[in-house]
Amino acid sequence: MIMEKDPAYFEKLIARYFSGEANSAEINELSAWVAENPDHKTIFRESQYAWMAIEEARVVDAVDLDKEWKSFVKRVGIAEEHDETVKNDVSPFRHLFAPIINFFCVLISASPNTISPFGSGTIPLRRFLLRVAAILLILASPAYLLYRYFQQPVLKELAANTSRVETLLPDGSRVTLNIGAVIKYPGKFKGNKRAVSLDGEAYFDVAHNASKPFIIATDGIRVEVKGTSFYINTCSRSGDFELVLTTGEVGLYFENQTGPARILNPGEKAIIHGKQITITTNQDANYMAWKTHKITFSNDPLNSVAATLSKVYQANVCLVNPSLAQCRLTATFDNQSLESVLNVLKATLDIDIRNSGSTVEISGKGCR
Amino acid sequence: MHPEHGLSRSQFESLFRSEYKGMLYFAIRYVKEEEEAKEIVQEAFINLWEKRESINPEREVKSYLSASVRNRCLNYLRDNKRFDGKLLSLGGLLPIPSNDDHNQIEFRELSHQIQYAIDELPEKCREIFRLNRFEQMKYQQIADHLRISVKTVETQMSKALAHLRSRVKQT
Repeated sequence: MIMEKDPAYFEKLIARYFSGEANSAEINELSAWVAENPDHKTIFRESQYAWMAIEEARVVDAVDLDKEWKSFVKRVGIAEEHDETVKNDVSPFRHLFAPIINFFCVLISASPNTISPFGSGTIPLRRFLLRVAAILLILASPAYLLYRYFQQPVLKELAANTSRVETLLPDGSRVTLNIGAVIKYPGKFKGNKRAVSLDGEAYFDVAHNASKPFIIATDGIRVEVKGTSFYINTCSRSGDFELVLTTGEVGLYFENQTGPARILNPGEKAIIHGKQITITTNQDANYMAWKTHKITFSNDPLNSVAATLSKVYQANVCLVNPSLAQCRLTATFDNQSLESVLNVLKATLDIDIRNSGSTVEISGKGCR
Repeated sequence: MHPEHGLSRSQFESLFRSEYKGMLYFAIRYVKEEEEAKEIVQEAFINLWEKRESINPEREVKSYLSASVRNRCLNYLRDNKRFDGKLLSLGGLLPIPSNDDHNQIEFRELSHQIQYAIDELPEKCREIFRLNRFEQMKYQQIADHLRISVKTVETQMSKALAHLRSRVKQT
């Protein structure tokens, strides 16, 4: 006997759906109920409107303007310079004054009313302090001038610690750092080069400037570009240097070599292991997924799916049963949460998913 | 730089602080994703920052920003064919208006309307709704936190939604 579900059931289901509590079977059920009858459709639409309005208001209300402004400032590279300069000012001064300060401190601890470094006889402490202060001041001016004259370029450092970070470089180039990556770059690109240093995984969208090559220095390898977009990973899982070129042209140079070891074309992927460069055509359709959150699987085995999901969502997705690797998946996910993707996996394949701390375990009988 | 033209850094900061929320409200109504909407607004401000020396007085700036946000939203919607089930598509897309002086006012009005509607909910119902929406807690978490059954949470949430549906309407 089929029980007619009362309207209250569907009201609850609508709330569950919007809260993200509904599973795929329930979503199908709701979908059918909505399609059944124009009144149902109206109820659904009105619920959706109210829900969305509340969600939007919540997001906007929760905005922390200070945080957003700070984030903006960082991206366009204003205000930071001031702090950086101050930080770097300290060390040269400290070097210069260290001997004097030490001397000064020793004198204080010795005895308050004795010893003048400037001759015989005793001088009361207060007068002594004034004389030392004067010397310090005098020394300060020329040292300061010297420092300005020989000033090293102040380097900014940007690190993606807990989430990916995007910033504009002084020439308008855009770089997106994946978690764990660090980039160092000057406040202004002076001279005939634009040079930055990179550690980790990043996507570069380099502004065109044929007369001023853009150089990325990593441990032992230099990447020179004119105006292109590409993905670079200086310490990927295998410990190699990886670069995938999206558009434009890129030259790879080993440290201390003037000629390029290799020039890459779009669609090519370079892996550098020690001094050896291997070029392949990029096969991994998802190499940008960590940035775009768009993942495509074409009959891919489940172990490769798990590896991609682990990388994109910074989680540990693993297969409990190795025979699960035989299961294949064809699907596209565009900006979905990990939970959403896993729900689709559960619905499509005969598997179970268990969250254990930060690990997602996929278990099941396997396929075929 | 002419004195009548251009925005100084502190002028830009004031502008950022006064316009950000209105712009975000505008973007999020179409883009529906918090991170994407924030990104669109940031990009619009970055774009404006790059042009700050040639921009004229306030009115021009606001409409420039609005147009910038609007275009980015359109591009986003066009380029990102979301994996949407039939349900989401039923909601339909509101047409994006071309003049946007109303963002701030609309947002404040809506915000008040929603606040009143939520205040009208019975206490327990309101608390459950608040925990789910504003503290982002799942049904089970709410049940555990308040020591009630998940079924109660479900019932209260549907009551809340039914009430809010009648009070927060499309005009």
